[in-house]
Amino acid sequence: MAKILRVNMAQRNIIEEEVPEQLALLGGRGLTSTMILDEVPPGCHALGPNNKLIFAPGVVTGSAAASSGRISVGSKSPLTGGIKESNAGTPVATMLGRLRIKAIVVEGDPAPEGWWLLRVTSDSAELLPADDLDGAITSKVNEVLLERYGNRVGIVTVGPAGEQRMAMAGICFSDAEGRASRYAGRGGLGAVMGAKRLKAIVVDPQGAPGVEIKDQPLFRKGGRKLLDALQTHAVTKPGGTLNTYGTDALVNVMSEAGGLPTRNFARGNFEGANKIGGETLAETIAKRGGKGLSGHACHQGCVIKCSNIFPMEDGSEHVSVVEYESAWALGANCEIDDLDDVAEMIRLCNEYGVDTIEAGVAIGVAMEAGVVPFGDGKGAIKLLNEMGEGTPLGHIIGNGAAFTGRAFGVVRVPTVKGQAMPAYEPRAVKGMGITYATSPMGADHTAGYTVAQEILGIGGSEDALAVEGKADLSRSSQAASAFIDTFDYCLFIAFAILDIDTGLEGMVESINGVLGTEYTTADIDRIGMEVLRTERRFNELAGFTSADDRLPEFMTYEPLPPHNVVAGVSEAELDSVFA
Amino acid sequence: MTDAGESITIEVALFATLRKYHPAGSDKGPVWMDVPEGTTVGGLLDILGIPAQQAKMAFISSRQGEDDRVIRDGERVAIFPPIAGG
Repeated sequence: MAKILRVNMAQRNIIEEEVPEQLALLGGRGLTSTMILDEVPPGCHALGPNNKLIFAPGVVTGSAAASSGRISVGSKSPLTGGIKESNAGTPVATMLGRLRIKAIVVEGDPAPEGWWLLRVTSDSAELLPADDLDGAITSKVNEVLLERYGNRVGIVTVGPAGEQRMAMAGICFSDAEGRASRYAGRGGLGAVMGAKRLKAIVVDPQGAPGVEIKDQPLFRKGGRKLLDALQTHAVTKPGGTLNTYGTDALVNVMSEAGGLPTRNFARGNFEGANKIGGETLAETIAKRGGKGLSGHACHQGCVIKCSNIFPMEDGSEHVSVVEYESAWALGANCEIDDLDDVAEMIRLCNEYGVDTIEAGVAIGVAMEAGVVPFGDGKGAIKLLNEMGEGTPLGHIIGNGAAFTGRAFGVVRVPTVKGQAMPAYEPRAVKGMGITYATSPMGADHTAGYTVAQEILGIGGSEDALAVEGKADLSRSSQAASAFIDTFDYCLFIAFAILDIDTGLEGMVESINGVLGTEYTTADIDRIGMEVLRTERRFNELAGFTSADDRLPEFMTYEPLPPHNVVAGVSEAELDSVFA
Repeated sequence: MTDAGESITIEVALFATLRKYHPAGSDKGPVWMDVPEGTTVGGLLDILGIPAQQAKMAFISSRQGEDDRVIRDGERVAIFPPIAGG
């Protein structure tokens, strides 16, 4: 029987609950968002006693379904003030799935002192004192806990930024080798975990019964079809571009397309793009050798393997993972073109426990204010260290791009609902702008990735600079993403199943195999829309209106080179997305 | 106006798995090269020896371009294989 673990930090007790019927078919984002709407008062303070933090693996997570090792974390966001779901690829996800733990709900008002560790095994769950980990960076936490509980456990933790309740703090999950490197980064969920005074979770998968599969033959049939699609598509197959270059291959693509936000969103192409892009990254990894690795899997069971381990010049390990969003945010967006400086910044973000996107954009805003010059890698590294040390300047930047902009009187602040924009310029990729503006999550590329059609020619081909039809494209992409995040397949399976119909069928058959349902591909949009409506309902009750579904004003009057275009999407078009 | 049969000079940048098709001696990066006036993106692929199915995206001076797009003197053409990420 699947169960929900309810961890009360006030009473420091843990209650095991059966899964109520209305949640039985949900997992991942669908589950966290439904529970947040049901249980968290929308007007509450995100860091206060009434907020909750919910961890939920997807419906198929932990099964043999390819590339499905993802976990959703839901809460009210201290960054946006709205609902938040952020997910990560990690063995912790598959462990919880195999333990049949549908959700871990962390709730209650903790005592103001002391840190706690939640330990979950196949037959127990307990809260243990963790004061020895007070202030520890994430790699230190993993080192101590792997030593204490053995190499096979999965670890969830927050770094100093989460402990200090900074609004850009993420939640760090261990990777396939136990590294502290996989993040549910967005929306400041690490600050919520810090506010609950939960420093870490250790998951021991020994004796796990495995995911219950209602119809094995159907599950296997669907699984094979999806696997075939992933192993065939040029982007996702072994030796394909994701596997060879990682997501960072997008740096050159977006720069050539004039849609790579550069110098705090002042232009759409970056002179130094190739120095931080996937080609140079893969070449550097190969040349330096040693511990370096391209085609690294974030969890066992991933077919795509788009992660990497970036080495120092002497071949020793520097950081995992240099991916597109991080290399862009801390690189191009700050006009920094030194891959080693970028790698060091990613390492510091991982160690202090912050979202690389929010960090890079906040630093870009600070650069705009003249705190350090654009292009100054060492200066940016110093700003990240201020966050780790918890200085007043570190707290300003650590609270995100919007907060930093307000602190320094900056007008050009690229955020929506208080969350920093990721690596696609909304003026040059119109559908992404609509997704940023209207997603209940705030500016988020994974919420509805229209770049697939607008730039990459996957799942169709659209003119990136045209507005017509993009409200529909964004809406359907947002619904598809909400669906995939609910079952917690990796979103990257979308590249294969957008182009290969049998892969799409295979995904739905795998889900039916697990749940015993009779969903068809036509249900994808319906289920995704239900999740989105739940999330928008929470935001509405929290006080959000259509005025929050807008891009920053400067993008409506400042033309973006090289295309020299403004945002150009009317308020009526934005409001039509969920009308 | 130039006469038919004259050549134009364009900048060509190939990425990811297509970098190996850069003209000899320029495998690292963008190269300026002469091509006949009227050359299209598809024609450029032929000149460079890139099988059409390997080239997924072309950007000509930052604009998306299909195979039949005629390249003009001085333009930069960036060509990519299928790529995606997030």
